[in-house]
Amino acid sequence: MGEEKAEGKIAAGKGAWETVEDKFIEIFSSPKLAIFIFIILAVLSVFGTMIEQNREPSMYIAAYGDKWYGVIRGLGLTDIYHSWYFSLTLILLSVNLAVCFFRRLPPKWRLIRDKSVVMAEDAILRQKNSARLNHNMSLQHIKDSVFGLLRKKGYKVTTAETGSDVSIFAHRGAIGRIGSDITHVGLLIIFLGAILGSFMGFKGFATIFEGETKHIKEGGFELRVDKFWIEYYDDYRPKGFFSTLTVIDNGKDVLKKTIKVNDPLRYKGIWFYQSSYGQAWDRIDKARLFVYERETGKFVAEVIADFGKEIEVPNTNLKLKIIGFVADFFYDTASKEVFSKSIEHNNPAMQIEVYEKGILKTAPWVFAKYPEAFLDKSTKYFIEAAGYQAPQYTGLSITRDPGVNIVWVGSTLLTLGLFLSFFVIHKRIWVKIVDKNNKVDIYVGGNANKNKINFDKDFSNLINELNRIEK
Amino acid sequence: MINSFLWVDVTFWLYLASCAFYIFYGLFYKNNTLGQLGTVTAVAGFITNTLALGYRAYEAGHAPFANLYESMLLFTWATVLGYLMMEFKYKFRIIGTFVMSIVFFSILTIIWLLPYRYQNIDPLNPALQSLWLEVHVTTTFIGYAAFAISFGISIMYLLKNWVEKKSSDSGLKKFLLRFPDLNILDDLNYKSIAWGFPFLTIGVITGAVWANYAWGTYWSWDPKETWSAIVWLIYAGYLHARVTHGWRGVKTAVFAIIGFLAVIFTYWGVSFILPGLHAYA
Ligand code: HEM
Repeated sequence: MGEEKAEGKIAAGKGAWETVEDKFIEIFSSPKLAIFIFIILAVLSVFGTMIEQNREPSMYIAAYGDKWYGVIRGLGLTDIYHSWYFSLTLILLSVNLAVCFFRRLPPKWRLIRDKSVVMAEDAILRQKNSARLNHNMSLQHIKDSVFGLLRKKGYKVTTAETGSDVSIFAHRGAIGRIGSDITHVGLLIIFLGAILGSFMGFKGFATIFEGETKHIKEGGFELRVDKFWIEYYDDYRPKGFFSTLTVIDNGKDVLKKTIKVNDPLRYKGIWFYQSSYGQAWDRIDKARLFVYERETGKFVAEVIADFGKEIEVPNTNLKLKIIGFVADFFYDTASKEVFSKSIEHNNPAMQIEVYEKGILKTAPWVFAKYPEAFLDKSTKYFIEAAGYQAPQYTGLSITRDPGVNIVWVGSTLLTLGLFLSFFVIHKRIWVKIVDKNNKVDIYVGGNANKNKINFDKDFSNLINELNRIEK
Repeated sequence: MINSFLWVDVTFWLYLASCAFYIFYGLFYKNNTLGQLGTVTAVAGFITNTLALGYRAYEAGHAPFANLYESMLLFTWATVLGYLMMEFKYKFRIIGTFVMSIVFFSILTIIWLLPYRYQNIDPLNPALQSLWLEVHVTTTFIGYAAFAISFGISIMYLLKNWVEKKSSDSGLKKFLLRFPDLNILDDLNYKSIAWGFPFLTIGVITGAVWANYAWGTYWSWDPKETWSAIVWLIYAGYLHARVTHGWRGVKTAVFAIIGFLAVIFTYWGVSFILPGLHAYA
């Protein structure tokens, strides 16, 4: 008894589960859902382009006000493409695609493989295109001609014979029927690649000065920047940015390449892209300094000073030494410290120690853009920073995306599927030739899954040619 | 002096003439000569359009796809090519009335409305120096051209459908009698989109390949990319509505019109209204 009851319960449970499953499959194999999902994705994407994505809060507050910023942020609209509902929609689309694929492919595959050669006369005449002809010729002769004609038009032809009639089935372009499935699978593969990339890949950025080496921890090797430079067009617009990079693996130089925009370096699955560049904001290599007599304004000397090294100024008893540099001068009155407000060379300034007869007299800041701001009066000289050279750094984007090749495979399938689906048309033709005492009746019928106007033309050409066989 | 601007001017007048011939052919005369003149001037315009692009490439030393001015020339070129192929195959000259009007308005836009600086030949900024750019732009614009043609055909469909219902014997009705059968218009609409969709797809994919080389990500949701995806979704919707739900006629015509409006926004609206990476085209 008890056993029976338990069994009954299981059976009932299974039934309920099956209905759920059926329902699930019914919903998700429906192309209606697909269109609905397209609409949702399109609408969300429109939002994403109307509201700027991933900007700093102040920008949103300026544009929408405090209250609305709260709403927009709360709804995830500031990073909509990574919001849970956007991801969910993409997941639904994938499930939809997968269910659709598995539900629809088997019957389609059977249709493609189907070679029911023999078709009754009336069934042939019921096809979308059909005709009935007769000829005063032998069955065999007609059969050979029809066979040859269809073969010449690129059809795959199979025949079946009985004593009194011949059936012919010819078709071409069957593969076109699964074009849409290849497209759908391609899309699924793209999603797969994208997911793999987002979980297993990384994206980073590094600024590296010429001559410096950086440890790339994701790859366990070192990268050295040998050189960075810019090439210009005649009108001084930049033509290209170049970095010569060397990969050092296990202490050995293993790979050297000059990268530029659109031409990255690849090593062990990690890609290095030329992405930006700039000049150091906290040091320089050397500077050109002019020295004048303050009272008379008389030019005394020009020196090229290396950073951090004393240099004698000819015709004087001065020695100069550059001890500091900032690209964008800022003096913090609270801490009484100087630092660079930004990495831009907006207000470059260098601190120079001035020695007279070997004794440190002063260490003023000299402004490259504002020479008249040199007010130091500890010596009788006036120092001007006429130019400087700062070390250049190159800005590299560093990425690894193990999914990217999968994305390309999916893209190729997707495209291939589109061409199959739109341009390879499945055309089928059935012919039955019935022997009537040295005369024959010919029944011809056919259809195409697409581009029917075109097939109408094909078909009437075929009939014309069949009519002409006798001559 | 022979240069690209000269060829653009000549192309402008030829497209104007072609447009006028087609319109007169459709509206006023049951005269095939006018239609033939429309075709001849369209072919001539296509040739000078080709020369304009060629000279532009020669002067700039790179494929002429670097700014709006150049890409519009590519758009008119691809649209006229697509239309002429269609006319050659199906012989419905009347469609030229609509397609050549679109072409004429496009070239009018770049000659009169586009700020002059866009006509400058610019050296390619470093991100644009890639073969992928050329494939990306060409395929995208073949797609756009096909959608433009489907837009013209959809308008014809709606007009014809509207007037056929009214019984009055107006002049407009006589004009519309020249339109192909509604079923044929519907079919040609599908055919144009069946060309446009794969090419747009290749355009999006090659754009992704190029972005992957230039910036290290194949998809970064910048507005231009996103709008291409929206356009792509709209046409995918069109195809599914048609193939799986049997939508025909007015509904699909409206769909195709919405699709092309989205194309225009992707192409112009995004460049001028929304911020993003694709500032040039
Ligand atoms: C963005 C996603 C999708 C794209 C780009 C896409 C693309 C296509 C294309 C190009 C066709 C061929 C249309 C034609 O022959 O004119 C097609 C057909 C079809 N699609 Fe999709 N599709 C997508 C998603 C889906 C989904 C989620 C479903 C799930 C139900 C689906 C179901 C179908 C069906 C049933 C057909 C019928 C045509 C056939 O069986 O050959 N599609 N799709």
